[in-house]
Amino acid sequence: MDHTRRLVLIVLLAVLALLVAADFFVEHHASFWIDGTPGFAAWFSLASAALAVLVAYGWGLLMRRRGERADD
Amino acid sequence: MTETFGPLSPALVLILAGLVLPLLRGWLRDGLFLIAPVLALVLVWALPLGPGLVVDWLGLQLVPLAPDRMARIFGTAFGLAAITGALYGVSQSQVTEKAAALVYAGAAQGIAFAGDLVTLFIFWEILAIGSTLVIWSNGHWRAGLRYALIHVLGGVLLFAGIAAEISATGSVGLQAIRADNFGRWLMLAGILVNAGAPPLAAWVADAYPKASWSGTVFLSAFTTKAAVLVLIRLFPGEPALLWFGLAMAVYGLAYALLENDIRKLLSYSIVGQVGFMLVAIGIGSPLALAAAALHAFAHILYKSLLMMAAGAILRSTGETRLSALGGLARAMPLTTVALVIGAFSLSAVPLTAGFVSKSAIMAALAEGRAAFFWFALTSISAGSFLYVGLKLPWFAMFRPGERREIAEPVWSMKAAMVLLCGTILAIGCVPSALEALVPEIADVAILTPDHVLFQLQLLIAASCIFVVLLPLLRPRAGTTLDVDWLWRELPRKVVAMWAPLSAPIGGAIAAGCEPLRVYWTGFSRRAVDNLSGASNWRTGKIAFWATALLATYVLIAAL
Repeated sequence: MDHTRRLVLIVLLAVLALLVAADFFVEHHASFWIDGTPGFAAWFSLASAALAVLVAYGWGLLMRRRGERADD
Repeated sequence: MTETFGPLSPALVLILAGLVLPLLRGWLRDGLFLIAPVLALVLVWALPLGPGLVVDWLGLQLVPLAPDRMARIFGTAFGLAAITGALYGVSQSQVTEKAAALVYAGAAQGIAFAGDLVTLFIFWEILAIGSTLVIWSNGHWRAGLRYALIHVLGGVLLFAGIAAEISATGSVGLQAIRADNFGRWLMLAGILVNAGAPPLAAWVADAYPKASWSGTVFLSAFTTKAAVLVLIRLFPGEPALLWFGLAMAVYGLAYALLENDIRKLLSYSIVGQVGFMLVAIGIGSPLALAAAALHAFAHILYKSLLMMAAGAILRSTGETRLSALGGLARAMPLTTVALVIGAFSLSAVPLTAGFVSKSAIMAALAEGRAAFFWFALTSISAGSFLYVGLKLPWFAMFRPGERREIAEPVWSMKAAMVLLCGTILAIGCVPSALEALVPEIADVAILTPDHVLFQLQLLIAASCIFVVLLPLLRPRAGTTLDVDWLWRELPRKVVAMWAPLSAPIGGAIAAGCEPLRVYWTGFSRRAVDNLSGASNWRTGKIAFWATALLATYVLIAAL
């Protein structure tokens, strides 16, 4: 990972940590219990986004073809 | 005063303007192109809400103009899309596209205000014709033909379903039903084709990017959202829609993450966002239906804005491939702002219209205790930010790219984008302004601290993943295979495979059939001889056979 990306990642993680910390001090109105726990959105999104990229990448390995469609 | 507008339909105004447009020249043409959508939107609000006028036609009780609250929500969204789309595309030189776009927008208004199945079907077909002409006007005949064929299939399914419904119930009324018999399944299938549902979802990303820089803006607004409205009217609470919607959301996410072309990426994203609406319709509660309508409303605004930004990039650079773009932010600052606001709205960033509508959808899922769909759509929301809020602006606008001598688009295009940016932000900052249109959302928590914090965590966490997995998200030239491979490429491959085999197999078949051919030649010669000698038949013999045939016919008729 290059220097700029590492720096951006550190800033983003710091912001995320602040948001999670703030989450302990607000009143939650949970829909299904767990979504009202502090920091839920952070870890759930980390897992979801990573899964989305990996699934799409895997699908791309199977289904992605070079060039345009023959009839385009 | 409003009663005086009663008989005048917004659809009629737009369709007539579309038909007259090619006859005009110069500023008259541009003036009509700009004024007709404004007049249609005025009519959407001037028409008094009520059951509408009943017209007796061939014994059917038709209600061609039934202004209710849902018609007003969608009519307003379609009206705003037509106004901003016309302003954006007024400098388009293709008069065919402009005329077709007005007819297309008029058909969408006709569907919004249709009070019966027959009127709905008529405008459904006009919608297909108008949108096909928008694609054809950019010279993409094959893509337009594929689009038309898919919509002919959808139209045939819908027509068969409507015919079955009318024959079963005797009513042409638009009423909430379940897909509980074959005819209703046909109707649902026909509507789902237009909504972009699997297995035929590929038409959206195939057709929309083939239109011109201005045509795609119109295409992104009407067809799929008109289908959403019809599903709200006919199939609220239909359980199948939950699964169709979820499949569309997953499909849209995966294909958009892989896509290299901006307008194709945005087309896949249409399918994904319509999936959110279908899930809400599948829940079926008053809040869920209002949320689906509100999300369609917001989606029409931000997707039009995104397509406008994409069109501006295309017009300025002649390019829409992310792999060939980059570094446009400095040369096109307003387009960049428009792209970011549209992308943030789709990603439900707080203070945008998309945040309001997605909050309403999630609240409806929570109210309906649909935990699985709530978590699935929350997860997909995080993924959506990856492709539209990060990948698209980064690779098109912000990453270092080659220096290009390009300029911002013309004033009318910029004005349309500014108008939509303002509307999206205004709705996002003052969600209560929408309560007059959608009162069901009054109790939904939107700009509360926990909800805003939840969404910010979701977006920042997704951004972290974007930075970490950037090499996997780098756009690459190419195409992703889809179900349309079956009719776009498989026949070509079969023909290519058949060519070398055709001579030996054809020869073997000819040799095998030789005795049959000899017999048939002899039989036909004898038959011709018999017929040519018919004049020598005796009258009694002719009378006998004629009587025998007549008796057989009478016997069959009697049975």
